[in-house]
Parts: sequence; structure tokens; C-alpha cells
Amino acid sequence: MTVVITGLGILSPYGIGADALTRGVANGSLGQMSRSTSSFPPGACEIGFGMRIPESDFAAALDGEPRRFLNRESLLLLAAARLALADAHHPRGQIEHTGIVVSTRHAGLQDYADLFWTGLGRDASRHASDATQGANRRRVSPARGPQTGLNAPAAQLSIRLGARGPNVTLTNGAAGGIDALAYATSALEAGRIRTMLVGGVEVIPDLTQSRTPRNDGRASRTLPRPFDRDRAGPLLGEAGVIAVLERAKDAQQRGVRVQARVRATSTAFAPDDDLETASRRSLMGALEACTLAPEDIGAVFAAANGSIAGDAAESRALHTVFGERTPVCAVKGATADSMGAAALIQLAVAISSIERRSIPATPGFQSPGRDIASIRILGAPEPLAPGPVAIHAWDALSSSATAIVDTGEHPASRPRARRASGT
Amino acid sequence: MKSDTGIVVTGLGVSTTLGHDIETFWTALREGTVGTGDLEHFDTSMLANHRGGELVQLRGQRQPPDPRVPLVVDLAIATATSATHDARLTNSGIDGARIGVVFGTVMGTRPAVERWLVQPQDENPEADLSWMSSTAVSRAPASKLNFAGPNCVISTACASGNSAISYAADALMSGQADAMVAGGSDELSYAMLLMFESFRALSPDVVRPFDLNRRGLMLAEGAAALVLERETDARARKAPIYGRVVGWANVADAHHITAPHPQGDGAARSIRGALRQAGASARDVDYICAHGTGTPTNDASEASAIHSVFGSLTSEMPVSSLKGALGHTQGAASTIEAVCCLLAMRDGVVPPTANCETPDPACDLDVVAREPRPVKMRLVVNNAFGFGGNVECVALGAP
Repeated sequence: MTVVITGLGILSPYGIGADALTRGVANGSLGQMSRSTSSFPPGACEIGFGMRIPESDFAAALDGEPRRFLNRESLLLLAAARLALADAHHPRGQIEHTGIVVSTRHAGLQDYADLFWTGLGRDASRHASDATQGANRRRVSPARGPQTGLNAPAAQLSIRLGARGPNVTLTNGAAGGIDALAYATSALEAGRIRTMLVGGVEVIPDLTQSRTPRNDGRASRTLPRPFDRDRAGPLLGEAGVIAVLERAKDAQQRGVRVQARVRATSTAFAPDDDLETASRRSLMGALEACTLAPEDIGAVFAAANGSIAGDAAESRALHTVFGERTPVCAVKGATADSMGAAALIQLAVAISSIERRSIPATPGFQSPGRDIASIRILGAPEPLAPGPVAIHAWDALSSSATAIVDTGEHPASRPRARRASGT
Repeated sequence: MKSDTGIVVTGLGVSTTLGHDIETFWTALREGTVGTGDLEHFDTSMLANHRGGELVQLRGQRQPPDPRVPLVVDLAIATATSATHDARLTNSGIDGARIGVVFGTVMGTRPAVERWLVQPQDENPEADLSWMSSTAVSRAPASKLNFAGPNCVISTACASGNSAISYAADALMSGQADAMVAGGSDELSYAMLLMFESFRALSPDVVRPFDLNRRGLMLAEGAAALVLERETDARARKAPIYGRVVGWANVADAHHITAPHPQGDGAARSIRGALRQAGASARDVDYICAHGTGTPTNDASEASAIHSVFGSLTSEMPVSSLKGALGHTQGAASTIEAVCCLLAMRDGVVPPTANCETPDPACDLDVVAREPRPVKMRLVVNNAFGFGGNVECVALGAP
């Protein structure tokens, strides 16, 4: 059974929609870069930079929809879903038979910390008087509590849309977007549901900025520079993405445009913290699942985010699987690392690249670091031939996932989406 | 049952207030022991409620707390390890790259953030904020056990444990793995106590599921893990088989962020979906392990769902809830309850619903209370519901 993507909704630091994202990546310029205003005590947060989505974009995308009792992640996801459903021309009558799977790393973390802080009756200097403590306990809003859970954005989305199908949140870090894609594909193939919304959402909680794993304690305040010799650590970014998935025959019946076909997904984990091995396994697993050879892949949309160890490990895995032939683009040089949403941002850029038949350059990349294996990192845009492309994602805790998508126009194409655990 | 997923359970592990091994836990559960009590490791002076299902002894052993490993992660490691040993998975010949780990959780490592907020990094340079990501709940046990298969943390609020079980079953059915550890783990936290207090949802003394005088739930902590395999593989290696995972259905109430659907719409759809996958009818079910939180709204909604699915069979359908004994162990609840279901089928005994003295006639269920009840069971249903309208019920069959 073939599963296809028929709609995309994106909010990124470059604005609303896939075109804004594509332009931002092509220009290689920074999106909305801002310093956070921390509600946390001094010292808990060292770094306050990140690529944020301006409130005006939320408002524009939600078009007057009530925002009360929704946290930032829920609003982002709802806005992305509205865009995606419109893009897919999804019939209102079918929304009841729609499922939702969302990838996020930190959804609700800020709300959790705020609730805790409010309940303690603390102020920014961490002092609390006995007199205020009991009163502040009573100030904890019952409307705020449900926002503290990882599942809140997906759950709120089901309530706002009336989507009564499967509803799941995956917390697999930056690899989670592809795991969510796999979950949705499986649900559609099993006939459990007619439409799946695959989401990724992340905002920047102040706490996360004090230390980002696998960058030797460093985080960038400028362009992340994936794979580059001058890379200085990742930069955190915000994003809300929804992809509409359905069976190809249903899309055909509806007469909607197929934006991409999910050929295969694969996931792998390295218990010994060996990210290179996990990456190699997931890349090979995806290729094997759809019986493609590395040379069939027109481009790899990599997860490199400017981290020292992570980029080097990914480059070694890409070199082992693809050698020096396959063009590699790492979009986080422009989009920053939106963690749970990141892989779906990569997917969106990949789909746009297929449509435009052009692979963007890796933003911020000038020359490879000495520790970067020999792979073909694009310093300038290149034409993309019709055929499958790979999206590779990894997380600092040594998990990796790969998706292969195409438009179905390539002779190497086979109909069935397959999932694999890299071996 | 007319269909078969071919997925069996070959190992169990638990860590609860009633015990940290399955036989101690099961004995206490059958005896109606109550594991909730006064909270000892939380300063509740600012709270109106002071009770919960706290792993008092375990927390005591962790004093002073190891700043590097959150309790929720330790619990996941401990139960995954126990289940793996129980399944004789180590040295079974199964390649570690083909064994995956999935854990369900509500709050993940979030409670550990509280410590860092109170004592931030400038005062506590040892604080390791990499734990801030809840991915550690499944990564840490997999690393400890050297399992490199699919690895996932799943959250469907308090249905997370059942969602982990179905995720694992799917991974096996699609051939992504040859064995999966499916667990649930959550720890108590001050923020969660504050949150449920703001809902006025906490019982001040004990939890009384389905009781006329029920007053609310009680937060608790714990974990459980199950090893799932394809039956052909398990039988080939002569693994112990506790039961089969025969059906599941994840649905959304799509109704309200905290309140269940008043008629239990999502719950009824989920139970029906699980039975449909199992190729079974309502008549085939021998026992329902209820979500049964002890709140007025949950228990009424769940009773409506059961009536909707089972109709006239409801009056003779044994129903019990573990939450009177354990409190609400959040994302771990339904995996702990799955362990109970499997042991209940093994021994032919439904454990009593602790603290249910006067079953609520409005619920009109055959609640097993006060004493364990001998029941021969071939098929049981394990209900799990969560905030946000997350619902996932799982049907389990005898070996």
C-alpha cells in the first residue's frame, strides 16, 4: 500500500508556509533571532539566543481563532494544521476520521517550570516568604496544568479539530519527526484510519538553552554552520510543522496533488553512544526497506546542526553509505535546530527541492572541518534529478532515523512504504 | 478469537509501592493491600493534600539523591532489566540490534527539572541538564541492556503504558524487531501535586474506585515493563509465555483537555477497536481491568463506556481497579495493570478493588471488591485513559 503526503503546513522563523521556509534556506540568512526573556532565576539560563517565531505570525496563521488556554506549542501546531489541511484540500467531513502523531522534545516544559515556580511563590531572585507560599499555591491555574504534559499539543489539536483517530506524541528528540512519519504510515497501512496528521513542534524553553548536548557545552549565537571548519555549536530554533498523510488511492480518489510518496522509513539506536553507527544503520535500513541502492538517491537532507561531534559522526556515516557522490544539504544552517520538529522541516525542504528540481546549498557552510569525512556538501545550489531523496535525522542521545521519499515518477520507484530497524 | 496478532508476553517487571518483583506485587494486590500513604520525601506544608503513592523506601535509599539520574529513569532501567531476566532474553541468541525498547510516560524527566530550578547551575555545577530531555526514559534502559533496536518514548498522558505495548506489538508485527521491551514509568513531582490540587481532583485519604463515596485520585509513582515477542520465536526458544497481546486501539475523545467524554465515547470506541482486532466479541471478555481513577467523573464515564460495549453482559462482567491500592501511577499505570491482567489470567484470580466498600449503584458494575474472585479467564481488557482525551485499551489473551 502506498502512503502519500498531500498537504504541508509550516511555521518557521522565516514566516508562514513552505515558500517562506524555502526562501530562507536558499538565502542562507538568519530568521528571527532574539534574546529570550527568562522567567527563570539568574544562573539557570546562560544563553538566551534562538530563532523564534514572532507572535504576529501566530496571529496571522490562526486568523482570529480563539487562543485562550493554549500554550505556544499548541498554537503553533494548530496553526500548522490549519495550513496543512487547506493545502491538502482535506474535506471537513473527514476530520473525524483523522489521527494525529506529533514529535516534540520539550512540549510543555516551560509551562511545567512556570507552574512549579508559581506554586512555590518564588520570584526571580528565588526568595519566597512563608506568607506568599500558601497564597501562590492557590494561584496555580487549573487551566495551565494540562499544558505541562508532553501530549498537550497533540491532544489540543484533536479537540480543536474534532479529530477522533489515533492520537500519539513521540519524544525521540531530533529523530522523532521521522519516527512520527513511520507511525502514521503504519496506521494508514493497517487501515486504522483514513488520514494522519504528522506533526512536529518545538518552542525554545529558556531552560534548554543553558546546555545543549553534544556540542561540548557550547551553543552558537550566530549561524550554526553545519559541517564547517568554523562551526561553533548548534542554535535552537522554533517550528511547527504538519504533513497530511493518506493512502495514495484515497488521494487519487479525491483528485488532490501528491506532494511526495513515503518510500521507506528506518530507525536505529546505538546503546554505546555511537552516533555514527546508529546513523549508518538507519540509512542502510531505509535503503534496504525500499530496495534502493545508494546511487538511486538524488540528495540527502542531513541533520547536521553545527555541533562538533554530531556533525562529524553524521559525515562519517554518510561517507560510508553514499561516498562522495551524493549531494548533501544540511538545512539547519538556516533553520537552526528545532529538535522534535527538525526532521519534518528537513522533509518540507526536501519536498520543495523535489518540486523545484533544485537542491539548496548548505547555509553557513564554506569549507569542511578537518574532522568531517569526505562527503559532497553543497556550497551552491544544484539541479536535482527526478527520483528519491533521503532525509536523515539524528539525536544527541544516539538515535537516528531515515526517510526516503519521492514523487513516484522515477523508474526505481516501488509502490510500498516499508519500515525497518537498521541492522 | 478469530484473529491472532501472534504477539506474546514473555517477561514481566514491576516497581510499585506494593513491591519490586512480580510475585510480591501480585500477592499484595490479591490481598487488597493499600500502598498509598503520607508523602515523606515532599514538603507538603504548602499543600492541602499530603498523601500519595510514594516509593518511600526506594527514595530513602537514594538519599542524598544522585543528581545525575532521575528516579523515572532508574525505574525504567530496573523494570526493563527485571522483565528481560524474566524472559530469559539475555543469552537467548537474539541479536541486541533486534531488540527494541519503548517506554510510555506522562512527565518523563520533567520532575528532575524542579531540582535545577531550585538550585540552578551556578550553584550546582554538577547538574546535568541533558536529563531535561525525556528521551532518556527509553534510551537509558536500552543502553544498560545493550539493546539497539527501535527506541521510543511515547506519551498519551495516562494511557501511555498501553500505547507503549501497542507500539511494541506493531514493531514486532512489521518485522522491525525480534523482541521489544514495552514499559511505563513516572515519578511523583511537586508540580504534579500542585496541578492536581488546582483541579481539586485529589482524594484526601484513600482512593475508592467505583465507590459511592469516592472523592478523587491520588498521584503515585512506579513502573512496569513487559517483554513482547512473536509467538513463533518465543516458542522456538522455549521462553515462558504469560499471555498474548491480541488487540488494541488508540483513539481520541476530542472532547476536553481534562474531562473525559461524559458517555465514554472514546473509551467505548477503543474497547470495540481492541476487540475487533482480536476477532472477539463482548461475550468473549472475562474481566475488565478498569482505568478506575476514583474521581467522580472518570468512573462514571468509564462505566458508561462499559455499558455501551457490553450491554446486558455488564452485570456479570468482573471489573476491578488497581488505583485503590496503588494510586495513579500516571504513564506507568496501564503497564502495571497489564502485568496484573496477565497474572490474573495465569492464576485465575481477579484482585479486589482496594477501598471500594460501597459500589456506586449509578455505575452499576460488577466491581470485584473486598476479596479476590476466582475467575477462569481467556480474554481480558485493560483500559487506559488520559488527559487530553487520549484513550488506548488493550485486549490480552491467555497463552
